Amino acid sequence: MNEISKAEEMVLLAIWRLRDEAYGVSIRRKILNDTGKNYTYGTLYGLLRQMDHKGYIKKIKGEPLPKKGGRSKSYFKLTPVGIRVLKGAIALHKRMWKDINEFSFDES
Amino acid sequence: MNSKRNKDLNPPRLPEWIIQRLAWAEDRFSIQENLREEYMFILATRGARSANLWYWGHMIRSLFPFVKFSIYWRSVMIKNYLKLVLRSMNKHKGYSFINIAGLAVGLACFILISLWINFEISYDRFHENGDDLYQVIGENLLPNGNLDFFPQTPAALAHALDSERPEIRNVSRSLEWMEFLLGTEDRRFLERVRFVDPAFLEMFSIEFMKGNPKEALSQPQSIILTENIAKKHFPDQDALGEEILLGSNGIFLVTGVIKEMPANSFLRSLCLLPIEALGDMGMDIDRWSGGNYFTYVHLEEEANLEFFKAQISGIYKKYAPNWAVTKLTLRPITRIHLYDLNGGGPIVYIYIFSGLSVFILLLAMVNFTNLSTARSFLRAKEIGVRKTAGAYRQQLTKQILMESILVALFSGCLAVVIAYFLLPVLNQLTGARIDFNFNGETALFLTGIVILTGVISGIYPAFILSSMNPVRAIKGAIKPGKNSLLFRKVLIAFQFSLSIFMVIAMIGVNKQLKYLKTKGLGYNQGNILSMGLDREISRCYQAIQTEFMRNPDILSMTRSSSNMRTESTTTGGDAVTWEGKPNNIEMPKTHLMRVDPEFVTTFQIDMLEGRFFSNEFPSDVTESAVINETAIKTMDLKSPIGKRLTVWKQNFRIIGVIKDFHFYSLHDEIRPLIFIHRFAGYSNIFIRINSQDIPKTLDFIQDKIKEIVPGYVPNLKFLDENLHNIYITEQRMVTGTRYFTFLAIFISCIGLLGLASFSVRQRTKEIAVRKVLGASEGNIVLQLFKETLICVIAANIVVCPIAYFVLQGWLQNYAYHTTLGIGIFILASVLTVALAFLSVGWNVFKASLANPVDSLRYE
Repeated sequence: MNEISKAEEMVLLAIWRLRDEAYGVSIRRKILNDTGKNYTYGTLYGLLRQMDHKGYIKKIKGEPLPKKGGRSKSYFKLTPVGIRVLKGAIALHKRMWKDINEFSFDES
Repeated sequence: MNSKRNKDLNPPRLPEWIIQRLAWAEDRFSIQENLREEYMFILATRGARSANLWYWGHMIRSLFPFVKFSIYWRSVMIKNYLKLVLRSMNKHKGYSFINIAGLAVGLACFILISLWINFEISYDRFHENGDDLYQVIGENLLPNGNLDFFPQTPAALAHALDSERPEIRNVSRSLEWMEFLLGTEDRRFLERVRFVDPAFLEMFSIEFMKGNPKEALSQPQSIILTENIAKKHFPDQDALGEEILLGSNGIFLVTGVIKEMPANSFLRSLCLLPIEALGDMGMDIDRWSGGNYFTYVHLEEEANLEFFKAQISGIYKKYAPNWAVTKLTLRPITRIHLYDLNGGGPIVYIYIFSGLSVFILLLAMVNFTNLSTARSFLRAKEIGVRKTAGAYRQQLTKQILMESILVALFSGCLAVVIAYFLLPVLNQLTGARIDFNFNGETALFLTGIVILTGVISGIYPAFILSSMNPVRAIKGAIKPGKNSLLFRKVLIAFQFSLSIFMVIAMIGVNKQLKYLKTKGLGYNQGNILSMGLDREISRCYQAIQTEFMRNPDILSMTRSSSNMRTESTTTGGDAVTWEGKPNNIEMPKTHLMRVDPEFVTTFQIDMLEGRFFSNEFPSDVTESAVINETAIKTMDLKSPIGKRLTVWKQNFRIIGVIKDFHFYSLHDEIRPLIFIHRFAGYSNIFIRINSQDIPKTLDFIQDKIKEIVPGYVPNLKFLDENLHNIYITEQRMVTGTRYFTFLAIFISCIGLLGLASFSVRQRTKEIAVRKVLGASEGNIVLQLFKETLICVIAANIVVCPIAYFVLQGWLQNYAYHTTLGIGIFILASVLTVALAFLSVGWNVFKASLANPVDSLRYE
């Protein structure tokens, strides 16, 4: 199983939390609210495209925008692979942080 | 969100536009919409100012990620293309070999020619003041209306210019035709030296190894040696401060040692002497008459060149009203090497060979284009699948172009390696010393050329392939179209046209060189030795002659002011008059040669009338002249013997007329010639020897000379070998065209080979059916070869007349030239048809022998 980067992890989690409402603005705001990271759309869409390419997420066309010649909004959804890599990330965290808590560092 | 937005509610235009340009196509719209949405939100909550500010900030922060990702995705695509190219190259090894080999050879040729051109145009660019250095030249209006330029100027011109023109920073004369015995008591060589004004060292960038350039020429008895000459005479010690003998002019102090001039300089590497030393030798260095000096000026940077030229054009009139020059003008020193004064020069060869290298490259590109289009429908399925899977035409074009660029890049790398190993051949061919220096600039230029090559050769196949209809492509219904077939034939014909042209040019140039080398010169040039002569050797000449004549292997010897290879002293116009001269005849350029009585016996030239000089008539030395046939004709003299002839106000009597002979290179026609007999002013000794045991005779000459002229080591050369060196340019042309012809034929033939193997495979079934229906092998070979034959013959028909006119034009440069018989053209045609047959032949032959059952059993 591929390991994912912290940024990918954040984006994937945000998409999962947003369920059917995951599109550009909401993902960006979610990450901003949850982690304080202020991503630009450049970075965000770069990550999304990469993860789309890797098969973690898929793009879903929503309803066309209510204006003349409006194009449809793109929503994002986790694929089974995406869910698997997220689970993998949790497992890895658990293994990494096993028997360690905030107080552990005070000893040394 | 409000769907109807006012114009002033829109995000700022500029950052929005920038983001649109940067974003990749598939997410461009989403990103824009997202940004709008957030912008609207901020606008509604915090006002327009902060919303705009936010948008701008966001745009700027997005720049880096956008660029980063687009580079990432592009590299992914290139990796993909690379993989595809490698796979297809691996699959079709022969085909890729032809493509890459052809392109690599073409590019290598291009690289080598570029290196050579780079070298040629770098001549004299290394002088620090190079841009402000000029040579003063004279310009004569000839009676026929043409201008004749010449670089020789009188000695006094330099001072006159310097005192009258403020634009001149420095001026120097240079006299470089005199030769002297140079060396130490026991080892002396005849060397050419250059006399200059001290300013010469400031004007030209001459690198000093030892000594001070500012003072090196301040004393008349000083000499600056070149590195090689310093080593020759002072191998183990520092030459600086040593004494060296210069002919009979006494001892000179070595005040400096300079590096040899770089190969890319018009200035020959010569020892330098102050011009005052000439004064001590009894020459008037402030004369206005008889100019054998070159005059160089260094102008102030801000000087107005045109104004300056206008000012100096008639400057001599005040001092030398009789000087037969129409006008003075300037030429930049950077042009001296490239452009001969009266037209031509290496620049012509630069044009010819750069043209050829571009043509060779074109040939290789044609191969590529041809093979790719021919094979295009093999890839039809791939293209069909890609199109159905949603590839845009533009993307496919890009992909195919990318493939050909990659093939070109492979070939480019290979070409650099080939060029590196062939550079010594080029150096030998051109006589230049070119290094393989690969700096960033050339690398960039080369990469540019390589990519351009890839684009040009790939653009047509890309167009053909990407325009295929996917449905028909997948069905396999696409067959090579009539248009692309015609296009291919035209390209083959084009390739062969160039090859045929090259073959004809090669044979023609070769024939002319052979003609020049073997044409009778009007005298017997075999077994004649030549050596130089200076004043000191001149003084010992009687002793040398007496000693030499005792050896039966030495038949005769003579002295002359000419070296029989290049033009020597010339006169003409009103400087030559004669008894009974009609007013309407004026002598054109007339050569003047000083010789001794043995000249005719040594060179074995016949007299037409009268007699040659003789020692029995002491008055011959001052009063007699012999002229050649051409002179008689030009002067329109009926009975020349005994007539008075005046040259430069000196009177002579014509005592004889000599048969015409070529007294310098065959580039020029025989001109009027006047012989006079003088004790002094000779510069060459010619010795006719027996052809038996030449080494012994050579040793004898060397030993005796060293005895009589103490320490002199003569540089003996055979005249006929020397004569061949005159045609070094033609020799190089021959070798050069030979290489180019070989390349052109090689590239055309491998291209044809590739096409033939392909088209034969395409027609396996057709051949089988024909055989089943009773066609013989011969019929089939003919059938298959017909197409190529038509192309090659068409090329021949088009090219032969063009080649004839071009070659004829080239031959017109020679006063004496060979004739272009029809034989050349027949030979070239037969050769190219044969080569075409050979390259197509193997595949065709194989196909004609194949058992039709093998090809048809699957039907």
